[in-house]
Amino acid sequence: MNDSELDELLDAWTAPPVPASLRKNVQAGFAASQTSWTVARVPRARKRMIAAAILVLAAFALVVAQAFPQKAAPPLRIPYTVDSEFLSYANDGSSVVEMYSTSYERDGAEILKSRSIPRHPLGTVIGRALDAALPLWSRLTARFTVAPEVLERVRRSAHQAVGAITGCDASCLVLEHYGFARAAVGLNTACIDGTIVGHQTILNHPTTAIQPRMGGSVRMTWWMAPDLGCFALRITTEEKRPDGTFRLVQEKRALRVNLTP
Amino acid sequence: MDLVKAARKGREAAFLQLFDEHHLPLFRFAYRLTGSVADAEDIVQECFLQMLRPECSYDPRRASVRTYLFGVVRNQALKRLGKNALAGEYGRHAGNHRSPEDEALRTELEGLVARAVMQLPETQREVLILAHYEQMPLAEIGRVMLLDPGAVKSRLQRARASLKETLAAYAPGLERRP
Repeated sequence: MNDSELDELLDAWTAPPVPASLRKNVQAGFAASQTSWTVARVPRARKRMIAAAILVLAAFALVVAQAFPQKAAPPLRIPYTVDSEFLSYANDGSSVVEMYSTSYERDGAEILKSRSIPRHPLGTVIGRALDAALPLWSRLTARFTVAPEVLERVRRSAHQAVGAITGCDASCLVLEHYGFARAAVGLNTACIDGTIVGHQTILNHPTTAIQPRMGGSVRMTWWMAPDLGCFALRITTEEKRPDGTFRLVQEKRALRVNLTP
Repeated sequence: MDLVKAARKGREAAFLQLFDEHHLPLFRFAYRLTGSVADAEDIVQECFLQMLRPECSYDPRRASVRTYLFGVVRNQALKRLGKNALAGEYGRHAGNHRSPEDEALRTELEGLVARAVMQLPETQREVLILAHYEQMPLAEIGRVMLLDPGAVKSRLQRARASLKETLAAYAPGLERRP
């Protein structure tokens, strides 16, 4: 038998077609990996860099705060806080809790009191440090980096919008916020502009479910409680599939409303 | 940015492009090593997901992504072969555009060739599959198997010589012996 005859014989052994399920399973595995490996994936060197950056930021903030002392503000009374959980969903519908938070509403904005990232204590520590440092940094630098008239315009328009924390980025270190225009007067049970898609009582608070106009391939639904100053007790984020149906990718759910006596 | 980096940063489109570019030869390789469609599917799936894990050792300076992926499939297949007996599915997937007689002969021949390849010593078998079925250059086979090209070449020659002997009775143009 010569070489070409052997090659011809070997060619008789063909491989079967690739099962269609392989691509789907790999894709599902990818989605699941994004929720479980993100913090572990941060290399040790980068973790050290982040920690160093936070220390430098904190030291700088301390120095500037000493140089430009602020007037002491009167203590703020918070009428209630809401404990929430943030979930992300894989393609197969399974979900993972990415974060727990305690927050409240003030002037249409959701203010974070504290948060934790389950199973990732380091992420919790870094996240809390960023939550404390970034707004302070922003306040300290705004006067040098943003024109006074722009700042004034932002302040004036703040009460015309309602915002909420909707989730966090892949590492869960940085929070994601969305804000939408307040609904016109007379539609105050809707809280924000959009299509009312239902009503539901959540944790004994009546809510209105609204889908704000977003366009593109993302759909959000906010369940807003007017008696809690339009706090969103539930928010879902869905992505459009190629066949036009929507898949749930993220959800924020209130677990408990703590009324201040 | 290369596809592996982008996939590791969470970009699904990059991950799927990587999969689309490489999965077919990897699946064929896994199938021919294990003889099982189900095992091949599991191995290829694990191979791609392994690239996303923090402990993944892929280094673009040391090997191309294709070479790395073939190496992962090889290791996974060897693990499975250590655990399980061969599944023996060879030939069951043969095409369906032939007459029943042709089909039966074809399936029989396919099974014979598959068994002959599987009877080769492990390292010869891997070299033969990569060289013949995947048309991989000897130098790249050496990188997948951590061998120098000279060793790859000699194993390939031994594998082919052995197969010529085993399959001599089935050489094209010869009457099949009973």
